[in-house]
Amino acid sequence: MRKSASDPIGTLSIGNVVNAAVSLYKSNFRDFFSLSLRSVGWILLALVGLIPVVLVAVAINNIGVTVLAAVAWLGLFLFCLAKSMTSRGVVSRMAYQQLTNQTETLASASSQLANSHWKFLSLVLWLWLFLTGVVILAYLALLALGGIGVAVAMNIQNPIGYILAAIFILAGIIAACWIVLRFYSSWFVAELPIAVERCAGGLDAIGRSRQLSAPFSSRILMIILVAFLIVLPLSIIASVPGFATIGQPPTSAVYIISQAVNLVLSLLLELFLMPFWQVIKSVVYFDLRSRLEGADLKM
Amino acid sequence: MQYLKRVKSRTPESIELEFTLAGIGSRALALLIDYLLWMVILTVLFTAFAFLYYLVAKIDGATKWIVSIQVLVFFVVYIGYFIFFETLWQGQTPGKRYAKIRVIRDDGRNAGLQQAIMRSLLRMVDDVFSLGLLMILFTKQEKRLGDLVAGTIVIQEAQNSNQEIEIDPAAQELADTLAKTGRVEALTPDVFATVRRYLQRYPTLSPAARLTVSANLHQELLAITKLYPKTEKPNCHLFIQAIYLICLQQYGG
Repeated sequence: MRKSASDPIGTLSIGNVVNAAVSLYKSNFRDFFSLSLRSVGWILLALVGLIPVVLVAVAINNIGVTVLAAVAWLGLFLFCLAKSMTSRGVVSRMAYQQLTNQTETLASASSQLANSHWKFLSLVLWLWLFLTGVVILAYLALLALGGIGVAVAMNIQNPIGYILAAIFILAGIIAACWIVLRFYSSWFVAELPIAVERCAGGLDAIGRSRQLSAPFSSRILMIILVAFLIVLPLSIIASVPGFATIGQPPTSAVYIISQAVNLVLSLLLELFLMPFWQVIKSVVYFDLRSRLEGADLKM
Repeated sequence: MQYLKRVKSRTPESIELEFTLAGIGSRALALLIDYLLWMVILTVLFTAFAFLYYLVAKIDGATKWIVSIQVLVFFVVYIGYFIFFETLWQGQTPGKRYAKIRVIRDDGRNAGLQQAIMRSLLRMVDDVFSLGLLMILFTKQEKRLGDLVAGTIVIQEAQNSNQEIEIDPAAQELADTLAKTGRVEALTPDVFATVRRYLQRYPTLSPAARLTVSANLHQELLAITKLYPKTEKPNCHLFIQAIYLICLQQYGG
């Protein structure tokens, strides 16, 4: 890992990436929060759109009509997702432009990205596809190493055998986490090329993100970890109602109320934290471009 | 960086000093490292005590003693870790060293044992409901309760701006030639700062970026100095080095 001691002059240390993001979020809270409302609103609209589909399916009870309604909803969902992703992109764009001293208003940043909906949608669909692949890969690694561990434990039935088995299983867990985190860090800034550069689409953006992140993956992971630590208390509070459902039957009043409170708190959490993570991505992207491309080296 | 908070302190001798506050990011990073280290120490102690229990299990009444000693040792480590390091390393712990931050008194003097004890004792209160986190995020001087009571602030250590710069021997010759044109007097401290930053960062830039950044800076410098390159393919990097040497003569290191 690159130590913060070796940060070249003019670039940001791990702590200062998070500091700059917090400061940007605080000074633009009103704009970023309204974009967050917009982003969450689109997703809520997609969820509400599901209600008529279910009603139609139950009322008409015809497979053809149900499939038709489901396809229509899928269209609505993709449209809402594209809109929601664009609002997130606007947050990132505004933060990045401020970092490069080219501040944009909410209106001008939104109009700059008005035609980028489908790029953002293609990005999120590609990311989902890749993430599925990576999770399968991580699962296979865990299965392979864990399987060896179990086989060892069954064949050598003494303390040494058990210790060896434990080491293999632990190695499997570490390998699985490493695979997921490694890929996650390389896609972390993938929205930024669409938000601030003239990027052709989702695949291009992922390629660009990987190119910039490759030499700094441990650093990016450390930044994510520090940012996560700061928002952890909020996440813990939001997860408390979830614990109330443990051991409760799904039809009980406690279960239903806890789930409702949980949903509201999760939405609130998303409302407040979405801009924070988007701004973190912008600062990381700005720092990566400074480090590798000298983007800040101008008169 | 304009996004970092700065504070002014007045020493007992009435000298005004300015510091950059550590910020929540650097403090969280330091805490992460410290808690990891601290957990390693506690794990080692826990294992040692488990071994001790095993040894004295058959001795009557010994377990009670071991439990009491264990509680005491764990408390001392919990509180003592931060007191020990912050006193020994003048306001730093291993985590703070890594994050390049330091605790100092409000008046700019080094923090001592008294400050370390108060900060450490109140750490428990600050950790409850993340009170410390909220106070750092939303107060002007980023003080958690421990800092308020102890009269301390947490600051960033100055970044070392004297990173080595490699200069091509041919650059001096070019610098002398450029100086003779008399057009390099308009170079401002801002130009000097950018050129120096470019040369310091040059080794870490990607090969493609080296070409584009040096070409862009070269163009900007030509516009400022109103000089014209003699060849079609000028050595931009060398030209920037020469400008750096001229600035160095004008403004010093």
